[in-house]
Amino acid sequence: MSLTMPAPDPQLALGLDHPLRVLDLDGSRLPSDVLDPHLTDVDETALTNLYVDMVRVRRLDTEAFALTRQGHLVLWPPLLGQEAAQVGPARALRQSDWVFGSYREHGFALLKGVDLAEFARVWKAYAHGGWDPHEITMAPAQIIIGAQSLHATGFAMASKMDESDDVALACFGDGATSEGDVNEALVWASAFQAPVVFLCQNNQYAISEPVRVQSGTPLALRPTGFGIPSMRVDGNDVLAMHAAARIAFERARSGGGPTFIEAVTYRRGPHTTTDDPKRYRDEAEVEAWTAKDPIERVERALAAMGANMDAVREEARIRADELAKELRHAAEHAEPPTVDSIFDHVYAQPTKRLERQRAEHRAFTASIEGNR
Amino acid sequence: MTETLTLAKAVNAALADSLEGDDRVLLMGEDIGQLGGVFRVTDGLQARFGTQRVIDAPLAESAIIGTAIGMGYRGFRVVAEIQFDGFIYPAFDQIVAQVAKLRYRSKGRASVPLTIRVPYGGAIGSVEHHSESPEAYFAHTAGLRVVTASTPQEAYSTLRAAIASDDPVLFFEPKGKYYMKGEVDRTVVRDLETASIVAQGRDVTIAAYGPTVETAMRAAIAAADEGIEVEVIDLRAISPLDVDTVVDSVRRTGRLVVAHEAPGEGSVSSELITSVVERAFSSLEAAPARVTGYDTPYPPSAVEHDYLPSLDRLLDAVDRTLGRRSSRDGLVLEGAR
Amino acid sequence: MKTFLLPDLGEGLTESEVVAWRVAEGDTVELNQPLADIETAKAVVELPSPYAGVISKLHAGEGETVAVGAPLIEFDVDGTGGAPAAPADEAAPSPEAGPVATPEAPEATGEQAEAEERSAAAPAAEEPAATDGAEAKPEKVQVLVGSITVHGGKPVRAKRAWEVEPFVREEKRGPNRAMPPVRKLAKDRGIDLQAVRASGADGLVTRADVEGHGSAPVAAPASTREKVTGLRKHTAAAMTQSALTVPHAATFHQVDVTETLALAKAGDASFLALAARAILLAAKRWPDVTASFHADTNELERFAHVNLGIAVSTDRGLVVASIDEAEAMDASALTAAIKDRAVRAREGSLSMAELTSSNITISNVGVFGVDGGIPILNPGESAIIALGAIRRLPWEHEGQVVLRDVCTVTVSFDHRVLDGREAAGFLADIAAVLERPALALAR
Repeated sequence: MSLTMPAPDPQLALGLDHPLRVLDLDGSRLPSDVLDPHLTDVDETALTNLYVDMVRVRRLDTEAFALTRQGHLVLWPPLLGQEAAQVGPARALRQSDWVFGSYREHGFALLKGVDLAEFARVWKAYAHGGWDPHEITMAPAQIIIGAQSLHATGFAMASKMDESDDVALACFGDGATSEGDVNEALVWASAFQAPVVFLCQNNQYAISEPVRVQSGTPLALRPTGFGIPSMRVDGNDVLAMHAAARIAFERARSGGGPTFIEAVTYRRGPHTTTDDPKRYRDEAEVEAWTAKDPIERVERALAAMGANMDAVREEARIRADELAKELRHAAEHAEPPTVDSIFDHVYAQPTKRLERQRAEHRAFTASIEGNR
Repeated sequence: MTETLTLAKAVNAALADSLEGDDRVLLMGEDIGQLGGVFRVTDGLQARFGTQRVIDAPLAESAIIGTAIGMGYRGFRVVAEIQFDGFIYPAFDQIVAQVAKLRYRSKGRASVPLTIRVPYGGAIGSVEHHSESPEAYFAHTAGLRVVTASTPQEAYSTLRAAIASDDPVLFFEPKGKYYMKGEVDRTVVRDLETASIVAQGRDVTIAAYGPTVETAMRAAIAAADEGIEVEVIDLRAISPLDVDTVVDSVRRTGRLVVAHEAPGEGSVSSELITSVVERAFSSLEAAPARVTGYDTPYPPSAVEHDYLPSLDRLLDAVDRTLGRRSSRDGLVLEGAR
Repeated sequence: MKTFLLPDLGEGLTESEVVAWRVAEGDTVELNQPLADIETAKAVVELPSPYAGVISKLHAGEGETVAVGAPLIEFDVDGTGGAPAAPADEAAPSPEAGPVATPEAPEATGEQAEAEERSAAAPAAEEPAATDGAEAKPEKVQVLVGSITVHGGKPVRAKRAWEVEPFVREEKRGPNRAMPPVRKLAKDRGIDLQAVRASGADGLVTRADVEGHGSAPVAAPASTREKVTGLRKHTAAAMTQSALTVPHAATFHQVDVTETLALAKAGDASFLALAARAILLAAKRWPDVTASFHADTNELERFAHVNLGIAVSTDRGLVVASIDEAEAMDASALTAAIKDRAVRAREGSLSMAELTSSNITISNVGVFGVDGGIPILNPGESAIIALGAIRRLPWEHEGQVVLRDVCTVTVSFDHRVLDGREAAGFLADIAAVLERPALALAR
């Protein structure tokens, strides 16, 4: 991609011309001065684990998608094609690091240890939140575009005040970079040198709008104007994403302040199950990105490393099937919320006004013959 | 001449006719162009009128409204779409601090002929932030007109009036009724401040707006089975509110029920009932009642039908005003006075 | 057997079209295998199979539109075939499963359309009952002003958990209004608010008004006004016209009617009919009493016959009903005619001719217990005779003072037509016959 504007400080942005990559499409290992030092411990076993994680994430995604079409869930925002962009950074986190994600961060949720039964309830419209934020150290999925970037920054500022080395990871998409909240988060993170990492999964589309509607420059150039170093990374290369995240987290932990990572990837599915991508993009474009599939690339790499691929695939399949079965069971057998629960958790203590309304609604329900 | 349109198609027709009739009208919003909007409300408009007049906006609600103000200085009439009710808040400052006040602070020398379309309300079974009714925030702000529509005809005619208005207008579209079909006559002209009596009755007045009007009409039909005559008023305009029509009705019926999806606290019903009590207190045979969303965040949609005003909740309130037995008879509240 | 119901494939959709089937009945399918392409208002989407099994039935053809919540596919999932299951998926929580289920069940709320909305909102497989509503034809319902199109049948209220008292509309409220505490005060004291004199503007009853009601000397209104309509309005106009244009004079006579009354009691003729006979006999001797004076032309119109008007008091006002050519009738016929006119006057069934053709009138004011008065002439007539109450009075009779039945007879007359002598003569003749009915034989 060519630049239409000069970078204020090109030194701050890496990979602008060619996204940082260590696994080529054919699975061969490419050298990278920037990333290699952070991958020295990643052996066949570690890569296999990343592979299995990606297969599981994909299976979670495709099963949920099908469950929505079958009426067991009401809505699903798929992440097909973005598995590496989530698994790589997720496996670079410590458990005490917090993730502040959008509604598409299913990979992070899964690897953070979400309970699928609770997770499914969100997409069944049974609950607004799918997990205990403090238990899995991940804020509730954010639907308002970009809003979570400020929460991550605030968390990071607090972590620094506490002299902790916990970091915050803010995840958002290319569309979110247009929102005031994201730009304000960059200002604050820079001003306070907060230990926050901004992970922008540039999946090329904000619903129907291609990334060129949001930006005239590579997104990775944007944070340099705020004085924040950034990396433009091949988002379909799980190793590159893993290494870039390690760099960013390490910088944050050691007092180096925020980092911005643009993961160049592609949303191969619709925005959500109610979207119709045929209206705004060509099948050929989708096929071109399918050829850059993040999982197949790792399969090739593992094969090149001499791994027993039949065994690896079998293990991944079994674990993915287990996951799918668990999710399906959760979606099909979830207990609906009680009507009474409408009035729960609005305030720390129930207010008189709400208790009155709860009683009134109970009385109304009981006034219909056959109820209670 | 009339045609049968869904409410979504009626909005599309109003936009198309406004674009056709005035070349200074343009549309801005997220995904409204090539995709035709997430509800396909703007389907085909970019193909017909071009990317200069039907603009896919970057994901920045504050900027959509803020830039429309600038365009207004050069005489453009922008119709901005906020994709969902719950997404309007980033634009709140531009709407209430800028759009609403420009005419006043420029002593009438500058104005914002802007229409902000907001699909709003629930009953679509969606996830968080997609089913809210934020109209009261804007009704509270002087300088804004806030209107709704209850049928395809109302949607067509009211949106045409909104776009033609020199005042900034928030046009709240009941997205739960987007697939409601109805006859639309494109020559019907509507204003932005008059309520309509859509059913006549002697016993109780129900005032509602947007998606709740249909529920009120259904309640009126069901009530007739018991011999109860319900007068239904489609408020149409939320701000300024047509209190006169409601007061006249209440002077006849002596009883008032106000219904909407938004929570009751600090809401349109708060304002309307206050105004009626101020002006027609001695005509009231019973305390006014309201049926609204509860004072909680919008709940998970699996239970939204308990949260939203329903036919049975409306008639329960009607019974209350008539002094008939209702669900609240004998309801004892702990600690309540 | 499993029945798959079409779910809402986008937010708030109500129907979808089957674009293409990728499977046929009898095909064996895997879980999540693509079965069909479905077009919604938003997109064409692929439908993955919800079950592994054999497709036993496809409910819709290609190009067909299916309502959300309606059956789409039947599956044989255990390979046994068998009877089709009820369209309830095992995945669906039973209505009793959760404490919430009841308000969601359409039969519980009794409102199909909301059930339809619910089915659109919630996964269809969980709302099997909604299919009935989805299949019902839309219907336009008039609501006095305008109409709405309702889907799933006429809206009906849910059955309530108690016996519903019939609705009774309150009587139309009177003009009085009051603030709630004042209403309560009136209610507590058993005072009808409408009976209280309202001292505030526009009929506003104050607390003082209620407190003063009843305890103070009758706080009757100084006056009240009532719109006068119909017969009363007509009578008012006629009386005004008569009183203002005709110079009235009157003359009285106390008459011993003991014999006439005895005659009435003995026979089938009423006293009033006998009195009418006396009047008719007198009128024969004084024919101008039935004449009519036309002031515009200064003409006196005389009539060939005596059309005797009977004044009848009704709920709606006073009417004068004519017995035409009464001079030819005997007492018995007159009795029947008077009764007929009285009944029909009260029914309101008199003809216009009967109401306008009289040329002399009898007013039996005695029924009100009074002795007499000066009646106003029925317009166009020259004489009206008022018969007072019959009283037992001490009376000189055949040289002795005894109790006799005495009645005051009054004649009001148009002084342009009759003068005092004629009126007095007329009255004296009436009195003579009433005192001695046998005289009638001689007249």
